[in-house]
Amino acid sequence: MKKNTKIMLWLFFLIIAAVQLFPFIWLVNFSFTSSSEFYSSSILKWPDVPQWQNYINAWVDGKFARYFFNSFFVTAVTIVLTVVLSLTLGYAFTRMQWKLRSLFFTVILLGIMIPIHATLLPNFAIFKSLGLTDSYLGLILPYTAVSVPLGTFMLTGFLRSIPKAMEESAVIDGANIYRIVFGIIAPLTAPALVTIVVTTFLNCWNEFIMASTFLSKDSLKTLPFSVMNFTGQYSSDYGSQFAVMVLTSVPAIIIYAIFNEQITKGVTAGAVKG
Amino acid sequence: MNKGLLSGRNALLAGALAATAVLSACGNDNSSNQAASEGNNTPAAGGDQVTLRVFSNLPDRKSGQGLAEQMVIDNYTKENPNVKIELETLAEEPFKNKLKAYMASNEPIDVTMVHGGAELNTLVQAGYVKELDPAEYAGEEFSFLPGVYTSFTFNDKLYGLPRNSDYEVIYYNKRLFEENNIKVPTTYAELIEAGKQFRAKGIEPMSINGKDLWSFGAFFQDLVIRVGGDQNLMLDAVAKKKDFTTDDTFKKAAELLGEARDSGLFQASYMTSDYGASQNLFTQERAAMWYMGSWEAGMATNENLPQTFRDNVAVLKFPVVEGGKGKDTDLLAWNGGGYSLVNSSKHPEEAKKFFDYLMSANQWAKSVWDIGAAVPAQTYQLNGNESSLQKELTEVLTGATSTAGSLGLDYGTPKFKDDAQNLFGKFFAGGSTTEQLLSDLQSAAASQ
Repeated sequence: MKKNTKIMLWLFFLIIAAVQLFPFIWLVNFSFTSSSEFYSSSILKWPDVPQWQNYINAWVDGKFARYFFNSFFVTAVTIVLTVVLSLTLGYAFTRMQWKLRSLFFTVILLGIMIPIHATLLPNFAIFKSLGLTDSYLGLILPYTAVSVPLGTFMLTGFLRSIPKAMEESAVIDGANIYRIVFGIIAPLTAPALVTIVVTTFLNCWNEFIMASTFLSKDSLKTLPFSVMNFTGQYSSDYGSQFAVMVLTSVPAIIIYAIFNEQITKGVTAGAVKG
Repeated sequence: MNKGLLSGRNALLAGALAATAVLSACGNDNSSNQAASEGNNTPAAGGDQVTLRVFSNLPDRKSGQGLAEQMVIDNYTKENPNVKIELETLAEEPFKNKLKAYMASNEPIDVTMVHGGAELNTLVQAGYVKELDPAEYAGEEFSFLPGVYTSFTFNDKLYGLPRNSDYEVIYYNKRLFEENNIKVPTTYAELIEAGKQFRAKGIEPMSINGKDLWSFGAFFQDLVIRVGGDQNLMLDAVAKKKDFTTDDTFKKAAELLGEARDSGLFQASYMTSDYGASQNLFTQERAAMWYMGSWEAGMATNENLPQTFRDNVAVLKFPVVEGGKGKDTDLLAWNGGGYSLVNSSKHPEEAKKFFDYLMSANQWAKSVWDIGAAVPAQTYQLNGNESSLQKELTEVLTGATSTAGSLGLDYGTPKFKDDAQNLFGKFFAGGSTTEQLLSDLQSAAASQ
């Protein structure tokens, strides 16, 4: 009986895994077919001749290498900024006593609720007058601005669950504030920080609306533009687009695989006071 | 001027015979020193370096219209080494959004792609695009077909030039008709009948991109033209000069539209088929017909498609309706996309020079026709390498006795377009009757 339950459980998990993995299998499969084979009657269709040409197109016409570097650079800087700002803000809101603290906390949290679309035009106008359009900074700033509120929110919750005793002993030993935040608090909040890293990564890596508004120079464009390079007036070269998407999703999958344990910890971080 | 009457076959030169098109009696005293192929028009100033900014909705530069546009740009920069063209492209939706942002902040673009009709009107209202002098473009060097300025003219002023002649046809697969002994339809009743016969044989009769909704609007307009024989009726109704609900033509057309819906003329999953899905159904020879526009001429030469398909694809005019006043030569044709000059341009003279070059008959029109990416809005010479599909499309255009000038959907505000498309969607999803459809359309037109 017990064995049966175990087998059932495993079967159940395998089915779930298959359902979760299917989109990716489908993506990889169709990145090897030609566009005219899409929408055939079969769900998966292994082509007679794998279309490696799709990947060549993705690399050359999709300008993959160039866009990949841009995406990587913008995302990396955004992540560093977001982590540092969220951590310091979170600390200031939970551990320090200062005037207007709750007001500013509310202001930061309001950032979670503001839809990006509402900010596009005003930001475009402001950036233009500041000369920030068509620059890395023109992407890094808004990306950081939309990532920090959520990060701060998560960290404040997490920090409240950490006892203050450690910091007190650190102060007695003569550690300054920087030492406390980056040497003691940061390692303690690692699960939450990793979650922030991953969510920020995914958001920036796939972001298109802001990028398409603030960038016009080809040399600065990010990966989502690569998919668009195969979009015609009415129909698209799906095969090459799928190849681009496979290449684009590989880094995301790697990052997720490395951190997955931390992420599951981080999501529930601060949910229970322990 | 805007009657939209095509002067038939003399608007086209067949073969490589060097005859000239007789289009307009306007004296062609254009003094814009256009670069002919051997012309050398380096500016007298010794050629100061300029960078022109061009904004377009064609991101794919390797095929179709994007390739044509790129060819012209390459030609121009080769002939004018002092000019650098900085091109920005975005796909349709992001393109429209960003153009609005550019308009709001008065961005100094030099030449931009525009959508004629409601959307260009928005740009005109904002004073973002430059007025053009039609007299300058009347000559042979441009050879625009008559009536193509309709969607680019507001208050009798011209604000852009069209790049293509778009018109709706029915593409069909000759082999599927022959092998199943089904008559190629010339009347609407025959079309519905052919649909039933294909259904019985397990072949999808007609593919349509129902998810995109706009094809329904075009199909309905085609029916209105066939029933009433009046190209302007639909446009007038959208412009609130006629009433959708009281006119018998609309009533009859809506009933016929319901027939298409109820008799299973379209493919099984037509409400969820987007453009690519509906096209692939047809190109994989699983559907006998495809309701689509003239810009798909390239199908016949697309190496990725099955040989049997390419040998058998042909064009059908939208069939006549029994008892209707319309002829099959009344063509639902319009000019959607085009180009405009921007007022805030930093190099207005250089921008205009490039614009004139782009729109001259031997540049965009020639490139796009040679590739088979679309049918130009200008007189084009057959180059002798046309596919039979291109020749048939040419015949449909030159044989047209009247043209619409605009899609009804594009004739009102963007809001009307959106509303009307959703109403057709509702109708085809079975959510409304013919009477409801018409009264809904009427209120959509009234409330725009």
